Amino acid sequence: MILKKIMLIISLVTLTTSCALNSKDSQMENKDALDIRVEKRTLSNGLKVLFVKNPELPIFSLYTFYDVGGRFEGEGTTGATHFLEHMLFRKTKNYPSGYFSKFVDDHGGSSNAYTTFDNTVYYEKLPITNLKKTLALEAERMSNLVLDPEEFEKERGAVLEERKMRYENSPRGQMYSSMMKVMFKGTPYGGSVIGEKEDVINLSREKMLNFYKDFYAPNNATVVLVGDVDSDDAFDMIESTLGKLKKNDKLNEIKESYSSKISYKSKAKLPKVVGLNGQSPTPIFSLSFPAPKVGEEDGYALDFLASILGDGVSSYLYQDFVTSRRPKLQMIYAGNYTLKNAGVFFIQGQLLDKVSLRRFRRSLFRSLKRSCDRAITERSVKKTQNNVLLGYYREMATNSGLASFLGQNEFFYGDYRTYKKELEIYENMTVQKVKDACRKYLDPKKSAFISIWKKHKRTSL
Amino acid sequence: MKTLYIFLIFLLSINTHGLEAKKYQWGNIEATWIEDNKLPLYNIVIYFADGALSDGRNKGETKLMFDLLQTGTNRFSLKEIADNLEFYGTQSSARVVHEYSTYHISGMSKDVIPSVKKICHLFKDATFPKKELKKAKNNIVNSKKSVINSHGQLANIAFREINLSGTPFKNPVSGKIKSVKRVRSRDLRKKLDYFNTKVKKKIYISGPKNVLNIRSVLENDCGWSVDASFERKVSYKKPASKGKVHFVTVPKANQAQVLAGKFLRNGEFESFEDLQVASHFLGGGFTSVLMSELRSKRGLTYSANAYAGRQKDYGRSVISTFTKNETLVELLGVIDDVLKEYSSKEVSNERLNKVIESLKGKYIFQFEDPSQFINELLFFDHIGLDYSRLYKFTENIEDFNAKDLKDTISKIFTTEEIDYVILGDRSLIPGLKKAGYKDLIVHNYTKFIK
Repeated sequence: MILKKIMLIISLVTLTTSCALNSKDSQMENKDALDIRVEKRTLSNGLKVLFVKNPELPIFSLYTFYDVGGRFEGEGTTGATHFLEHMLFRKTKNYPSGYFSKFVDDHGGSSNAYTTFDNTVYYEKLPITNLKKTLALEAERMSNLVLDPEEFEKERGAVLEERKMRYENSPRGQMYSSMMKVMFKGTPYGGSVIGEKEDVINLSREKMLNFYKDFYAPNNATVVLVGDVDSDDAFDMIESTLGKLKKNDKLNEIKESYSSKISYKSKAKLPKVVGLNGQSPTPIFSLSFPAPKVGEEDGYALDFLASILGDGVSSYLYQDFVTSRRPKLQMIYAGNYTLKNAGVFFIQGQLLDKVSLRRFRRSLFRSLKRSCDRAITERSVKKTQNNVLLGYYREMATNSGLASFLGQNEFFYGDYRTYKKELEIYENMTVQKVKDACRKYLDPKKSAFISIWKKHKRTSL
Repeated sequence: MKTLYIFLIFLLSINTHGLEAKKYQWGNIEATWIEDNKLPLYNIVIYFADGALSDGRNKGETKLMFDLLQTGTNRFSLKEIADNLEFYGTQSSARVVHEYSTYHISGMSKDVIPSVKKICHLFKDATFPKKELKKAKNNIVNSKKSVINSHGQLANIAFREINLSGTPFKNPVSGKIKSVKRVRSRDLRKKLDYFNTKVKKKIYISGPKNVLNIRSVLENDCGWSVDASFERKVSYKKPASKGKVHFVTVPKANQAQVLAGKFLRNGEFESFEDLQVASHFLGGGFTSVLMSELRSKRGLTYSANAYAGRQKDYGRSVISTFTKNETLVELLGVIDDVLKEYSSKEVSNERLNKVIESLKGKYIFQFEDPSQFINELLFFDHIGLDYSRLYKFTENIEDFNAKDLKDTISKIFTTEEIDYVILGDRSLIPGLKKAGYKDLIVHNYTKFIK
């Protein structure tokens, strides 16, 4: 799937062939630049490592992916993974609170982290002279968290303020979490990663510590390093830091126990129409349909469908509703959000003033019905292919972009090289495949239409 | 290709961290190129030496003109233009500030000629059809009304107008609802003609060598006059320093947005190096003073930033953060204490060195992406600074001492002169007055968008 798109939506998100990135002087044909030379190893403690040498500048980017996200949270503990991510910038056994950020700041780097339903990712970029220390700090983060009670309370305050900023006071955040709640009802994806307010307020240190011990282990992580360092030196440093950590021997058992309680079969009763109160002066809407999980063949066709329907001024729905003779919308876009165990295809936008929400909803369904025949053409498919290729290149423009790209591929598919297969799938996409997906998935009877507007009365789902 | 290079006048070549900036004179347009063969992509930025200050009564007109270039020409409709550019994945967008404007084009290098030809066709032949303008204005009005959805953005709009009042820079470059509604199709055609025939231009390019083939397209297809030489120069009466506390009311806000800062006059903004050290120390990262005091120590906020920077003729310093309603007074007190403390007290050399080392470490990252770096070069050309100031940045901040830091903070975040803008629910006002903010100036948020 087009992982970069997925990340944008969320923001509202032993193989050895070592070699360098293509040098600046090399002549490149278009596809050669996508032939990334990656060295992949799995250490004895189970840690997966991907390495790419880039000698252009004396810098590096390091991404650490953990296979833990909001999907492992149960009732009453929503938001625990994200809160834990915050605490991992605080105190550890060998370093005082904030040391990690201080080290990065003091040396001119930058670092941050994000949590999704499927994973938790920490990343930093720094001048290359700081690589060994950064790896040592990541090892500390993976093994030595101390949950100081006072620190814990302070960070709870910051998380609650973040929650207000991203969800309570943002109609788009409110829309995203409402869509997830409706479409994935009764599954671990049915909420927001930041958690329910009450859960964040009541989350205990003990629960968080257990969560940390269960999931923060080398055999539950993938590290991606891109930078100006020789392969031998890079792996020596990784072995002497992260490589020394003990694996969690019970990880599979623990995951099994979490997974056994989880069902990804949505209990959503569709079709559904919901209006929620929010501060938006004109309605913001989301029309969503159940879609396949990451890596399934239909998902690639839905990526194309999303682009054809709602990516750019020339897209079908934009032409139909924003630039048409009688526009109804300020903006519209479509996306195919694929998660590890489920997916959702959505169309979102905002109405212009004095446009009837009910009439618009009807006209949107009519337009979608026509779209499978009218919108999907040889040209629109070719246009999407051009844009997909460009999207890949743009991601690879920096060390961080490349590290993130490889890590996402490795995390979701278990093999970073999957992007090459995906490129082939995209290259071979046909009008018929996209039309088939359009007819199969854009079924009004399996849709949820959610709107957020100041005139709606209902305040919660 | 050979013919092209015979006519290039080589002006300057500076090489740092592998990025060699080559300058050429293409007719009356100076072109700056950074060769980048890493990926088969190009980035082009066209610089126009005038911006929103060219707008008369119709504030927002320049931005509207650039934004609506694609809405139609004598030959092509909006749909045809968008379909043509998007088919190749060509991205184009405009950025208008008060003093200058830029137009950005990027895509696959193999497609650069047809894409730039299409963009040039827009500059030469855009008609701004009335029906498209009407739709665009309606959309803008709706978007402006919807800014209530983002309290952070709204606070920034209000802060700009309040803090820069008395200067030509106070109006938002996108105008307000009333001024945008006034703009007519012929105003935009006139504005485009002005930018095509009168305003000086420069080109900044990153990408493989073949991208330089755009020269003939730019010279022949854009409709740009060879005599265009106007550069915006600003003269204005310096506003008196204010130092007031303003409260902008929005309904049902459960957080208060806080911005604080001042307009920097001549003598206060020239050294961008000093501004960077001071703002980085105060609010430039996780461990900056403000993040440490507000988030790490007290858990009052999720983020706090400080910024101080300059344009050609003025500068601004801004602190921005937010907090829950219950802790607004505490947060304001902490900001005030921080500014007072570091305006009067010198920090230890050890602490200062860490700030300087941090900036020195960050410096190299700007060379990672040539498409971003050409924007740095553009800005240095705009403000009239030699590139050596950019290339020698790390050397230039070496000698910055603790007294310099104290003096710079005292100068750019002068506690008696900074304006505070708080945006939140009206119910916060009594508490603020009780806490000593008796002379609050209260505004309704709609004032800043209508």
